[in-house]
Amino acid sequence: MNALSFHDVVRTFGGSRVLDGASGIAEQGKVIGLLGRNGEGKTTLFKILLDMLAAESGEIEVLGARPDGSGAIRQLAGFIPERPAFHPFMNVAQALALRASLFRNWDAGRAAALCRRLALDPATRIEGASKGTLGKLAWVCAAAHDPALYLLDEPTSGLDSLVREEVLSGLVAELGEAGKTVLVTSHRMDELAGLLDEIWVMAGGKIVVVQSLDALRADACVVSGRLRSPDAPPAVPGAIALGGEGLARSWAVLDRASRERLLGCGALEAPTVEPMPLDRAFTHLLSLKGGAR
Amino acid sequence: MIRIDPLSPTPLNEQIKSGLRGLIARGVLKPGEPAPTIRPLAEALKVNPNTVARAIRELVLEGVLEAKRGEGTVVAEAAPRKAADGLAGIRDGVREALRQARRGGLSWDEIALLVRKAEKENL
Repeated sequence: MNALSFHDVVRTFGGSRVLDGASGIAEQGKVIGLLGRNGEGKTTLFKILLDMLAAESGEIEVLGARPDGSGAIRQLAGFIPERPAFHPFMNVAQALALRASLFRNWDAGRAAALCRRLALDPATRIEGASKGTLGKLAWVCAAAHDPALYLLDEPTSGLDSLVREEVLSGLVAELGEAGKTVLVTSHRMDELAGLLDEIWVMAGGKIVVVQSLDALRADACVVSGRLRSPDAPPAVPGAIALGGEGLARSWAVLDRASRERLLGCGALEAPTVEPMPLDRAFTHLLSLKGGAR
Repeated sequence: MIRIDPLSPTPLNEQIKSGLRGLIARGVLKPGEPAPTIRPLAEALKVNPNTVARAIRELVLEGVLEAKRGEGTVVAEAAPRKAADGLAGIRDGVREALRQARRGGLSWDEIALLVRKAEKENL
């Protein structure tokens, strides 16, 4: 079963196509990391999936509902926006009470348990509250109605390492048998590496790579070797040139098919294959442009 | 209690299994004692509970852990021997890697340096 699917979604802002035919399918229960540089359309995609912004064209289905401007999807999803905003004159308890009035399935007991778990004091005033406090509050606001789907836009950004740990543990606690689906962006995807089932790469307003993390773990590697001929370094699709000295060359390769193409192209003498840690693989994925693979 | 490297190319369930086998081989966990439970271990390691569940399921199939009715999962009687066999396999693997390193032209000094580097990085 799919928790969400979108097909050929387009959205322009002032003539620039921020989403340019984006398509993707998230199976229920999957934890998906959405990787992309700033301005590639991740935040716009989230807002469209949540029906907070309308697409110009494309098909969208989220938890069996289609965006219709009614706010129905927003009720079903747990969302941490890129910049969580709360009324400065309120305290944490009042901010939660406001949320409770907006969400039909809000569970006050669950909200209180989450606050205890994160050591978030309901009496804390929003004005002057630390980034850590606001980050915890954003998590409680996203999770208190026990949503089946989480859309998390940089959930740990700006938090100190202790609060990041707490928020990540909170996220882990939501996973498992319950079959909750998560789509998460982060500039620190490395700290989510233990949670992810899939990685999606967004570039030029499209999802350009979908890869399971098991496959990325197993297949990402650096291939090095000596060119048989000085004039023709091979141009193999999916092989990212890393440079070299003289006739020695290396490539980053992120999937098995590209690795086999490179090893099978016959241009390399004495090729070696060295596994690549995931943080390096994420960096190379980020460098991919639309349609690179 | 156990440590894993979420960025390593080694599959996470394999890392968790090695970690648990190591605890048993070192006698930190003894036969009959309850095995770590899925959720606390997943939260401590920051990994998906499904991955921990899979590791534990596989250790049960391998006879290292035992699912007991009403008691959850416990360390099996035969586990220390099995875990020790696993360690023997690791020793053989290290010896094979050393053989390859020597054949590939690394000196013993360079190998020793690699070991010290790995130790410093808490590999």
